[in-house]
This record gives sequence, C-alpha cells and structure tokens, in this order.
Amino acid sequence: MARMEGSARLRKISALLDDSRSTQEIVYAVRDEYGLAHTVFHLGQTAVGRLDRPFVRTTYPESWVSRYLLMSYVDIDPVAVEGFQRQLPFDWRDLKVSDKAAALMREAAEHAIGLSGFSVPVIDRLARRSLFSVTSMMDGDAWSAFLAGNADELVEIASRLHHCGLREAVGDEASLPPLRPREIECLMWTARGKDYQDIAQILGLSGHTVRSYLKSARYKLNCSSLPQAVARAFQVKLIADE
Amino acid sequence: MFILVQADDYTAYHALLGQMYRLRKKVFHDDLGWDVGIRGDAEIDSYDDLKPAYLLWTNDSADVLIGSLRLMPTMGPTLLNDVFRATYPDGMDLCHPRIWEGTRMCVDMDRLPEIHPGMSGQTAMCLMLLALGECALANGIETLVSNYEPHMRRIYQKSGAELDEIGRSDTFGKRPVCCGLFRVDEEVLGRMRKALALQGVALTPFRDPAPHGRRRWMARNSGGVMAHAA
Repeated sequence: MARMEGSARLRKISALLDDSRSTQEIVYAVRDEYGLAHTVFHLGQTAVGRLDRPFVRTTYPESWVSRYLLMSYVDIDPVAVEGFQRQLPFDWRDLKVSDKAAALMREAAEHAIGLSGFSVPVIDRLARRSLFSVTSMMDGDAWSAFLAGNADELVEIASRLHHCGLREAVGDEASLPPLRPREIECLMWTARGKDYQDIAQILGLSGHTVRSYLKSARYKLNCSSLPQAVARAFQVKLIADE
Repeated sequence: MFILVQADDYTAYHALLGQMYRLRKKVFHDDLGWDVGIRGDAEIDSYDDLKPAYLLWTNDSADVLIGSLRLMPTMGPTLLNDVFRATYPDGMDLCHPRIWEGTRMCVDMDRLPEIHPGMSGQTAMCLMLLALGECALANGIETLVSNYEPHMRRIYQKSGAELDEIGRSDTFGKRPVCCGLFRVDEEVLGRMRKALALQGVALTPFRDPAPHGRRRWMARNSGGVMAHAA
C-alpha cells in the first residue's frame, strides 16, 4: 500500500492538486519539491485540433517564453513536436534533433533552461492531449538516477495536471470516465477494512488485478490516495455504509 | 528484432507499418473473420488514427515483418474498454497511466519458418507476449490489458505469464475472444524468460547505435539463428 501513496513530496503535490485551481501554482510546486530547473505544462490539442490559444503554464523565465512565442518555436521544438506525437514518457536524450532544433536548444541553454529534460504525454478519453515536461541542471548518470527514482511520480503528476489544466482552460469537470461495478466493489471492500489480498480472495481474482481495479478507481475519482478515494466514493454515494 | 515505433517514427518505418496493416487484414479479417475495418488490402481502424505505439517483430535487417501489436494508454480511448463496455454493462473499463492496452497481436505464420526455423506458432506468440512485457517494463507500465483466444490462456500461463481473465466477448468473429489483465514486473518476466529459454528462445535488449538510439530487443532461437550467425 505504501507504494500507491508515493513519497512525501508526491503527497504534498497531490494535496495541492486536490485543492488548487491554479495550474501555475502546481508547476512551481513541482519544480521546488523535486529540485528541478523548470517545469512546463502544455495543453496542446483537443479532439478536433489545436486549441485556439495554447494553454501553457511554466516556470520558464519570461524572456524565454516571449522569445519562444515570437519565433514560433513550438513548430520546431523537438520536445513539443515529438511530445505530441508520442504516447510514452521520454527522456530528452531520446529526441531526434534537427539542425534548426539544435540552434533552438543552444539558445534555450543561454536562458538557463536546463541541461536535461523529461516529458510525459497525456491523452484522455476525448483524445485531448497535453504534455508535461521537467528540466534539470543535472546530466549524465545523476540525471539517469533521478529519473529512475522519480519518473513514476512525475507520470502520476502529469496525468492529474491534465485534468487540472483542462478545468482551468476549458472549464471541464467531467472528463473522467465513470467507475465500473468491479472498481466500486473493490472500493467497498477497502472501506470495510479489507486489504487487496483479502479482496482478491473474496472476489476470486489475483492481488495484482484487485490493485489494478483500485488504481483505476482512484484515478477516475481524481484522488491521490486510496483512503481519499474511499472517502470520495462515500461522498458521491458510489458506496454506502452497510 | 523487436522495435517499438511511436508516431514520431511512423515515416521512418513506413514500409514495415504497411506490412503490419496487411498482416492484420490477413489474420483478423481473412483468417479469424473479425468484423474489422478494411482500407484496401489493409486493416486499419479508428484507434490507429490516435497515434498508438506499435511493437514490430522483424528479421535482423528490419525489412521483413514477422509479427506486430498495438499499444495504447487506458487513459485515452481504447478498443477493449470500448468493446467490453458496449457488450457488457458490468464490464471493465480500466483507466490509469500505468495500465496500458495491447491489441491486434499477431504473427505471420507463413514468414515465421524462414526467419526463425523450427519455432512453433505458440512459442512465437509467447515470445511476442514476453517482448510486450519487456517493452512495458522498460516504460514504467505495470499492467497490460490484452485480448487472446481462449485456448491461449493456458499456453501463456505455462510460459510464465500471470493473467486474470476479466472479460469474454462473442462479438468479434467466429470464435470468442478473452480479455485478460497481465501483471508486468521483474518476477513475472523472469519466469517468462526462463520458460522460453527452455525452448531455446531468448530476447536480448540493446540500443540502436547513437545518436538517439532507440531501445530494441534481439530475438534468438537456437534452432535457426545459431546457424544464421555461424
């Protein structure tokens, strides 16, 4: 269970995501909690195409943001270009860098954007996409070690930021799919004090499958922890006291 | 060799993807009789328009396709969630950044003997499942939702996979299709590697030559590839 709860800093960010309506506040908090150089949240596409005005929240210095917009760098920035093509999280070392992009990267370095980066593409059920990127002054093995320890949490944060950003950008409150009977059942047993192994035995499933149902339930309820998901399920009357 | 291709690489792998769509038509439309969308001699559906990742199994020079599958995040629209939600009101609809869906897994049984002599069709499917698992583990995926024919369940389990059947549908075609949840971690993959090693099959991870080398897996079976390497 400890694993699902994540680190103290993830819990702190999650609590912020529960309460805050400001995507800007979250991107700053993630940068500070994880000791990163910068963070960027970019809501890039809707189901039909790009948003009329791209929704970007970032800790990048104003000078770099202006330059980036002025030069339409979003069309050649390999992070944005490949990020909205890809589905899996990626280390910027995996990017194909064209000559034009290399010039952009050198210019970014002058603005102290960072030496390394990692991006997480997110898609939702309406096929809207966002991209959450972080940069660091670490590189080489230190950066690899950082990612080995933190990539999973950044993926979790990115998926919740997607909904936070959508809420702020287009006022969307209903982009998460409804819970299914099995997920509700697993939450109900959790509410009655059963752990996933007990539930697995009761339902005749493997412990891994029960954990998958609970993870999915937690994600659909937009909650950072299982106890919180149970509380939310009571609140919205998905489950009730016996 | 197993190659993971995402949309930023579609152009570079255009020819192999073309082989994939044609193989899918042969397997799912012609052989299994599934009600799938056909565009010319290719099987392509609306999920392919969402820029999924494909895991391609090719010969060593990466110009002949042996098998393929499609990998999509369950946070977005996915085939199995949609099918099972439509078929069974009580069915599953998983949604989480670390739970992904693998579909359209197929092997070209006509090509297999030339590239991997002596490898059975069932072993080939188990090898694809292992490659999918390796690829998932390398990308932080903990659970795979995937479909398979009923008789494959025991074969996958014998090859070390851990799966729970969480759905079954008769709407695909002539035969029922099962939907299972596969656990992805070092322990399960360790078992699968060992089980396949007993059949003389191994996967070795490597990176493409720099710069920006992609992660790949080389498939070896002691029947054919030893002779090939000699």
